[in-house]
Amino acid sequence: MLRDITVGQFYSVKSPVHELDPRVKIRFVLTFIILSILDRNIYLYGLLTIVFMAALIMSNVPVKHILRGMRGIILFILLCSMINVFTVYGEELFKIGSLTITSEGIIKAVYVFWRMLLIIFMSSLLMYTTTPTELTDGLEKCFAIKGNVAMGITIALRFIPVLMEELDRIMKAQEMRGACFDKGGPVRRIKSLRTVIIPLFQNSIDKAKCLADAMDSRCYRGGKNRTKLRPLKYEKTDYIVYMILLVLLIVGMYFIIKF
Amino acid sequence: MIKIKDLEFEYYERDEEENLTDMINAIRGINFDAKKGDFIAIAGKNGSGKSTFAKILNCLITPIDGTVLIGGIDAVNGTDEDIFKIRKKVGMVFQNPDNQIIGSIVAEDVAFGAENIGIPSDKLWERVFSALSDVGLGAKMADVRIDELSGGEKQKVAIAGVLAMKPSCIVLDEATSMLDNKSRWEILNTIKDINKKLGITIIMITHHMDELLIADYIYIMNKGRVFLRGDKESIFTNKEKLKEAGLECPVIVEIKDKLFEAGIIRNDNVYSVEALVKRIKEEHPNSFYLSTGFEDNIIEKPKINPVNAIIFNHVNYSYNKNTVLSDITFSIGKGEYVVIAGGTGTGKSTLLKLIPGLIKSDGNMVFVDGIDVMDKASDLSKVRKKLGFVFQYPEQQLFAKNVYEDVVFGPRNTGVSEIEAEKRAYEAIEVVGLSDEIYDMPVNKLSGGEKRRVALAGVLAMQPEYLILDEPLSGLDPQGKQNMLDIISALHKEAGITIVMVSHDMESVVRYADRLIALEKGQVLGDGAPVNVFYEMYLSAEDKEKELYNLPVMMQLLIRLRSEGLEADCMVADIDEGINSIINAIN
Repeated sequence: MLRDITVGQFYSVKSPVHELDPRVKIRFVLTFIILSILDRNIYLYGLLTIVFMAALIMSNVPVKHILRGMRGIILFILLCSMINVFTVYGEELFKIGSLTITSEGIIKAVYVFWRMLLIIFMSSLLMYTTTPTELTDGLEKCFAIKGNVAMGITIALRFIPVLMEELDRIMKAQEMRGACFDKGGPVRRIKSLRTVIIPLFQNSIDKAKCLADAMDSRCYRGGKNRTKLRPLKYEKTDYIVYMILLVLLIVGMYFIIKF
Repeated sequence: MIKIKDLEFEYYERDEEENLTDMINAIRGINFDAKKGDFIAIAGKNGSGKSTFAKILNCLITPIDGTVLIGGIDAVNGTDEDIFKIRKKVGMVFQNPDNQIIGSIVAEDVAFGAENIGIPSDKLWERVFSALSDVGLGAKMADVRIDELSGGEKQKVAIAGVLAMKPSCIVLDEATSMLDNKSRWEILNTIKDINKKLGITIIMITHHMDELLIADYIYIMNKGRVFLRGDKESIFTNKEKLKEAGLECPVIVEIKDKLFEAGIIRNDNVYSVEALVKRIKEEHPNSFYLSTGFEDNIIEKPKINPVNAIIFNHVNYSYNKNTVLSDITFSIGKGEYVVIAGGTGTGKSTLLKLIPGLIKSDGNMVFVDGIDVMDKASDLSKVRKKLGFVFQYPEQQLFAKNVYEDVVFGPRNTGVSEIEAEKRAYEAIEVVGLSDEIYDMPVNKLSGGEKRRVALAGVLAMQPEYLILDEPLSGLDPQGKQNMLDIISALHKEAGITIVMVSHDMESVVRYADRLIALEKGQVLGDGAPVNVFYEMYLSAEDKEKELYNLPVMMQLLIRLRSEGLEADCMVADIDEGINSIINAIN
């Protein structure tokens, strides 16, 4: 169900990972992703998996909660990586019709799947442990984004669950009036979708207008002279995590060069 | 603190050729004053200009003429810096909690305004915690995610967000209109507290007439003008004028006036149920006995009848391991008018969605006309053809370029001929009381109440045998409500359509419904004649005092009188009958 999608939503619980400075978390995840893209070998991926597991355990976010939100995505990347099985040249294992399956293909598919899993799980762990506001504060500092752009991102994240619920409601309402989203030809489907997209758009615009008023009335001026409830300040643990990151980077590079 | 003279505002709609077509949200020559610590209510029907007025107080729109002085600062010709200063002084709470909360976490949102006005970080937490405690949310709530809160809690967060800016005035623009009665009164009591304890001026815009009773001074607006102004005494003795403005007298005032006419009490200065109870007791102390207890409540539980139309057979439903509904059993017969009531989070909306199988729960049984909609093998389309479902805020689901196209969408999907579909659409538009002039009107040109009726027409055009409605009255002004209730009642009586409706409007429940099903924590608390179920809700509540707000006003009064010792029959909700019951008990 649409409401099951928990991607990008903060999971409120106390943990050392939640307490970390968002800049540390963003840089950590970014390095992690770059490492996983640079090369694929079992040692590197083993290392990254261990790092992810450690972070996950320390974050106190239940694995079940993460998995529930990702069922669809896991299925999708599984399908995507399966394509490799048929398209990579190499030693032929067996044939299904005109499709040839090679052992190289299977190996590549496993790696691609593993890599995508690592990337998606690690970045969603970032989202689960960092509130949208903290996240944008961090992005603002890490990438020198302007204050109001960052505010835009915060609000977009905040409204994901609200819009999801609305989408669910509108779809059900139109279904009850005979709209069909999963039957009929493409023309009929698109015609049916129109009955959902248009009101969703209209409502989002109305919401945006109200929200703009609400922000104005609370003296928002695009970040001018704005103070922060949680000002970004490095603590001891943040420095320790930076050190761990450095070690990870060195060991990772070593694995990449060596194997 | 606020001084407004000869305020004018106009807003024109223009068509593609830039010709003036329509004038909306106009304000014509308003004079208004608010002193520090005042509690002012502004009422008016939809489109009377009250929300426009509220926005002017916060400089969200600039009037075209007149003087607006807020704390001595000119709001009409002010610079950006002046406007900033005004907004620091005057906070605003809006109608829809979801459209005004910016943070994802309670503390983040409460701090938002204070951050914008440059309160240093070390002071921010202090402000967040004190604002949260002022609205009755504990410090524990600071880390909770916004989407885990109920509507009432979200509204409290919004108020706390304003309080954290330490304003001297708060404007509330229909801030309670999306809440159930219990949360509504919790918010209202919070606002009253803020006014009394912190001395903050309150300007409350509303169309719930009973909310006017907690204000000290009242403005009634109509067609952009101040139609009436004065204290409660002068406003509510002017019933004819109230009606002219599209409003009605609060129920408790009506009861009080009738008791006065019957010679039971003096008439002056009684504006709440508690005050009325006190007055009756003062004037008739000898009719109150110490030994009076509560009557026994015998609910005749409607029997489960296998030929009944909608049957819930021990239904459980849980979502994310949270039990939403447990062991729900009841049946609804053809031609009944049933209201389902309960606070937020009691599973009312979930229960409605189970009826057409929009959500499923394995291993449970819900029958509609003998077909189990939970069974995956059942043909749902056959069941759904008979069910019309009106979701909450159905006007938010309109999509077509004009009224007719939207209404005709449903019948077209059923596969009838175009002529038949057209006929059904026209009929449906007529049934909801809209004239044939609006067929070609774009939907966004209609008023809120009209849009809702168009959405209802879109469902009726499917010619359902059952009509399921999720809070069809919420957000409507008194006239819009009455219109909607009349339409539903006509559908029930004349077309014989079975009505299953979730509603918070208790006064209308006792007037129209045959039966009330009360839910509490996902279970059926009472099922039967409305008055009996209301009485049961009161008797079994943990916090009886708060539960009273969920009852019709007449029953609130009778129960309070009874607990003071007057031997009046409590199971009466009709006003005239209730007054007879009081008179009999006194004599």
